[in-house]
Amino acid sequence: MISAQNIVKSFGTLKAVNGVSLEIRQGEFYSLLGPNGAGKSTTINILSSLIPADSGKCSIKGHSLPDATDQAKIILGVVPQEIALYGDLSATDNLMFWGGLYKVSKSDLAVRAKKLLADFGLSDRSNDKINTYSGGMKRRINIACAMMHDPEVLFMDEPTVGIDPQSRNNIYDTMVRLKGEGKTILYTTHYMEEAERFSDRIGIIDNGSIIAEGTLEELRTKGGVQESVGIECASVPENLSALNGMEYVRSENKLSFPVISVKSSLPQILQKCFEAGIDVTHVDVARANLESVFLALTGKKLRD
Amino acid sequence: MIFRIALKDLKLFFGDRRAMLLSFALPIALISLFVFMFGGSGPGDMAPIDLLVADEDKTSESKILCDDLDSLPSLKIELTETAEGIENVKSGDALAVLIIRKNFTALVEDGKPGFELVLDNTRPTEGEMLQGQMMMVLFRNAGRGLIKEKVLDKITSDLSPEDSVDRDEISAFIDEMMDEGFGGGVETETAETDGDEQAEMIEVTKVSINEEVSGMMIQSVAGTAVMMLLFSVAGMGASLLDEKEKGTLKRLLYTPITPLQILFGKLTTAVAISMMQLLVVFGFAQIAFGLDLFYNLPALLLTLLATSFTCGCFGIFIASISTSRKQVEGMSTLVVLVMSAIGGSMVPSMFMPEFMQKLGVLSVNYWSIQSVYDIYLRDFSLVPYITKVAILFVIGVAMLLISLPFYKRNIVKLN
Repeated sequence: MISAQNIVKSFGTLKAVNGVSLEIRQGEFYSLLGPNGAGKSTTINILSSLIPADSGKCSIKGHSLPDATDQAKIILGVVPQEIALYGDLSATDNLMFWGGLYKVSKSDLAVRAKKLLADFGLSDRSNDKINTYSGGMKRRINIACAMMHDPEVLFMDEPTVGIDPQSRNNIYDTMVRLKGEGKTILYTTHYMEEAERFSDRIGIIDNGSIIAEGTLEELRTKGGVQESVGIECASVPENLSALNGMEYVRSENKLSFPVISVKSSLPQILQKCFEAGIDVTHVDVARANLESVFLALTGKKLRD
Repeated sequence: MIFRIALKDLKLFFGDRRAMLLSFALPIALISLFVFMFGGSGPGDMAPIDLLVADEDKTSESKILCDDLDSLPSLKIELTETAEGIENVKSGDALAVLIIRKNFTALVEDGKPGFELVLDNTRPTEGEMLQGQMMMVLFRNAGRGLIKEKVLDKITSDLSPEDSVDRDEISAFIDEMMDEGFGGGVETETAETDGDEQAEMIEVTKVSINEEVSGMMIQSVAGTAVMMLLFSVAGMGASLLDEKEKGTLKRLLYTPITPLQILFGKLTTAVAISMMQLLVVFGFAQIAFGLDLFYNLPALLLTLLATSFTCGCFGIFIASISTSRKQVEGMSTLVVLVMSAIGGSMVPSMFMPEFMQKLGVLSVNYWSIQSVYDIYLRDFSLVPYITKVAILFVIGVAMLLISLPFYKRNIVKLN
């Protein structure tokens, strides 16, 4: 659905994108995760035909860029990083305006605007000027404007930056809904929890290059980041032969098992513990998150 | 704390170098402009008044008269044929045509007008000055016989029949006195002739089809409206920069709309709002000053449309060559004031040096005001009128074409 092959873009001496390649399948939620200045927005700007790549090839649903820009733009909705709305117009007016730039009938636009306002919980403020909205409400309308023409593909460039929890949750609900509708989404963020929560696949981008790509599990494996399962018990039996072949560390009434994946290892660990007659009182897991994956892959923290 | 705030603001001020330079250059440029305009470099700087002369007499006397007029530094004579001269005045291309009638001296001596001055009534002040400048020359060349006869009659009628008087001797004496009295020094004097004699000698025809409005009123309404409109559209053009700063321009570029469509969308807005502003101004002029909006409505609407279009293009031009709103403000103030000054929005162009009058034709103001003159005060003729309107459109298109590369470089290009 979305394809980029070795795209390069420089601004003066700065190489903002340095050989990015990615393939996003139809209906896939793909997150591009990286720190500020990693090249996420530039990649989105190239894929949305806003700026041309210096070299490389890219296409949206088979429409090669920049040759078939017009066809690509029709099926594409872009949520920009900044709140790009007309503050002196109402939410409805903004929605109607942005939607009207695509070939959508006025009646369809009105229906769509009403639905989106309801979905984003802003029906009661629909006729208020955007300037009177809170930051979070503006963010919601910012996203809604990109959805007015019901695009097949959505590019969302850090859509949740600096918003309140209520708005964030509302936007998360929208993500779930969009995934359910089978939209193809390219999502950039530097919030790991968002990438972990929604992504089918994640690309980690740093210094203009994608350094790793895959599902969360795959990334953990690639990063070689270990997780652990902790088993607390009333007392640890002397004979732990049932645990032979398993790597663990014993300390008073707790056993710690370092694993590659908690998800795949936890049932086996619990089974063995029961077989060893361990009276389990508490289980805790330490999962490797994207932060640790990112740290392992790049040698620096995501928010550095 | 105060020092910190001041330091920060100064840093911001000097940060935008073009805007900073404009803030210094603006007063210097305007002072220079007004000094040039209002003759700060000497009285001789005022441009000579153009006068067409149609010589129907074609005698040595009329030739001498023409040479005499041409010798005045305050006049610039161009010979023409009567019909052509009148046409030029009617179309607004010339201020006036002086028609030297056949046997003009005899006509004057018979108490009939020997001259006809066909005058563009849209330029009354210039007309008055012109009459003042040339009257002495006309009088010297044509009114001499008339005066001599009157003086001679007066002297001889006061004498008794017994007085031995030689009329030829008195006539020669009067000639001598008149030569002395009229010789030299006429350059800047106005003619001190009796109004009746002047009326007898010259017939003045003011070319104006509308007696209810004056040239000064048209000048004030059209001139001020265009000047204010130019300021207004510069602000509208700056909305392009606002869109860039707020990110909405970038968002527009994500959609199927093209940069040119955005530009023309802005232009359409500017033209529409300009048109409304001009209609409101002219509507007000109708209510307050009796300027008939419906006098020639199609032509007026076309003029207002052409003016709105050109002003809109000006707004786009100013925004495109600037990279910040501050620059737009400085640049537009400078350009609008200069255009308004040389184009006749502030003062009649006759007060300016010749080269500045010539520069005036490059301004929107000049052509807009002239086309409104055509509608209200001149014998409306389609070709000269359409030419003026077409020039307005051409100026607009030219500004738009010049804007395009700047628009692409300064506005559309996103870093």
